[in-house]
Amino acid sequence: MTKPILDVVSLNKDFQVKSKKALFAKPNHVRVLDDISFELYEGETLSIVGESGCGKTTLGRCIVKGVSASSGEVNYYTDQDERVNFLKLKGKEAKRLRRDIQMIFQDPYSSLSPRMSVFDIISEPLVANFKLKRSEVEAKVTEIAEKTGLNASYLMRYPHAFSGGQRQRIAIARALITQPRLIVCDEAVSALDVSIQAQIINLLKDLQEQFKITYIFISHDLSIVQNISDRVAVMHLGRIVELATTESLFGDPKHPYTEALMSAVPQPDPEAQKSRIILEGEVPNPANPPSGCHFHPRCAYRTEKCSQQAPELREVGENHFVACHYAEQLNLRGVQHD
Amino acid sequence: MTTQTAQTANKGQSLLSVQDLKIRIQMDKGVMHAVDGVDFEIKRGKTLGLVGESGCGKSLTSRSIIGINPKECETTGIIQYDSAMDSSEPLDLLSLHPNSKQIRSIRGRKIAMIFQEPMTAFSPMYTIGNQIMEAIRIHRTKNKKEAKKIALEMLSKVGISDQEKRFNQYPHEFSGGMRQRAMISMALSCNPELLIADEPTTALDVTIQAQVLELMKSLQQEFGMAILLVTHDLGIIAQMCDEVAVMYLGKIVEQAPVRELFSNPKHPYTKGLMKSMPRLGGGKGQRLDSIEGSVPMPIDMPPMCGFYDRCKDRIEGVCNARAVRKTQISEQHSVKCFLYSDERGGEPQ
Repeated sequence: MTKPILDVVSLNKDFQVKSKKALFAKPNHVRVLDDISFELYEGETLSIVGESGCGKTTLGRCIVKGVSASSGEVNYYTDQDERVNFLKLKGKEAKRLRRDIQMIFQDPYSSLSPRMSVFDIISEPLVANFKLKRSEVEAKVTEIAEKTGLNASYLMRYPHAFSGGQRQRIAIARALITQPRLIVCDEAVSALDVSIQAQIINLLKDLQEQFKITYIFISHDLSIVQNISDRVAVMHLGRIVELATTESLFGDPKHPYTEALMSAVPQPDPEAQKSRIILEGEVPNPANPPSGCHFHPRCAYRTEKCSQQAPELREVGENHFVACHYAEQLNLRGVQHD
Repeated sequence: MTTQTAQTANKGQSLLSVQDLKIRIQMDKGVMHAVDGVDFEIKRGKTLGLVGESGCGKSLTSRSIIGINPKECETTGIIQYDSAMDSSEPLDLLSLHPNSKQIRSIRGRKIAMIFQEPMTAFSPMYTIGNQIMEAIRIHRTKNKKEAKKIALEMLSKVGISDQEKRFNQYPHEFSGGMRQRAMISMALSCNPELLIADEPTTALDVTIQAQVLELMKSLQQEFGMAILLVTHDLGIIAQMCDEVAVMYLGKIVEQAPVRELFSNPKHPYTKGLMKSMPRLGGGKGQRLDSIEGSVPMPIDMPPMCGFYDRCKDRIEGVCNARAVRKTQISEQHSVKCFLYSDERGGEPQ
């Protein structure tokens, strides 16, 4: 568990946006990921949470090379313990590593091709990456389908014949077929109904145990994150503002944004205390972020310093990193455990 | 305002009662019973929550109240509406033609609705102010200046600053949370008796969701309207509602006051839903109790309990042989399940 599988070093990503002033004016840049660094250990689940537009999906895509990062490193430790910068790799080498790093997308209705049968969808990564006989492919697909709870006799059908939960199982089977070591789950359960959500979460956990997979779990739902993850990174406007183990993040949050996020989750309990922290205003525009700490316009504890100086991500407790000037002084409210 | 005092005076009385609502849709494969015998009552000034998974018919139910379901829907039943705004007799909304003058005088005036997707609910071609004013000019005043005054007042009530500027902006210039606020201000601009909110915060972030829910609550206190809140999120139900109806496959399987439902759920589906939801504070790594299987399509269903295939407590030969009837657990708590029905005999252990 202490062996790293991935480390990300000051990853940046800028997107170009058209200037509104003139047609041929120089384009503006929006910094979507701002100096992201973290380590990922083998066999763990690291969740990335934040509001929409905070860059969590872009981070996931940068890691799988779905979009190319502007600068920084994503170092991957191969099973021979080689440390390679995944972003620098090209051609065959990159292709080899892509087997090890897979992704599951949010919407199972648009992530599966409607023109391919489920068998073709699941076997495509196999066919693309390995030279296998048809019978071998068939055996592998059937095996994975069974493991993910799909009925093997339905494999010749097309995605439209399946419900949302089953489609997500197909997407998981497709990700698993190359025996990856790391899977990036981008909001993998948020499009599903509550009762189906629980099935898929349980499935992901079982598969992790069975195959020793590492997950990066991108989500906006804190209740699920608390249930599934070992460590959690909270993102706000392109920066990681807090990174800690699940217990210490939820029990003892150090960043005011984390506190507000947790407090905003509606609890399924009518007796729950009603005093909630309601953040004023909206998520600031990433094209024009506030000065200093990006969170300061919405923060209840802000001071002069917050608007001038951006706080560094620093360690305040054991494995507890936070980017707030006043992390030590603030006494923030976590989640009470039953 | 006179209507306001009338509304608060009768708080707790029945405003709208739905009886045996059925919506059938003719499909290639057969007849789909999307809503199958739904009964509920909305009381003045109170909030009723309608909770269920996608496809359970909760949206169709709420939309049938103001007659905006698609033409393919064949609707039967009674929706008795007892307005206190004028001294008219109770009215069956379903008996009105969806284009009739009568329902159009109710729609947007006495019963207003907010939709899930604020991006698609507004027309992109008109300014926000224009769209809010439309309802006001139809229902409240013909005077354009006066209408604008009311619209600006409403915008400030929902917490939109710089209203003059916002009034002239188009929907794409608003963020998701702002758009939902604008939609609420539009719905409340005619001071309705009943607000139907169909998944009002599903498209929003948690922090913005908290703002919008808080806003809805405070406006309810101010205006005294009743709310029918349609959602899939039990957390929102727990925070917002007085009463809850749990829907599954076109039927209300359990109905109770909110505290009763959360402390004493009876139907296996309600219990399953509550257990399968991860809770903040529920601890790490704890295995979720999921409900097995998935929701079947309600096409040509035999008379049986729709939850039979997924139910842990099913009784063979009973649950899959007959249709379930409603059983009263207590005065306000009812459930549709054979485990509590006399037809089978006795309470389960």
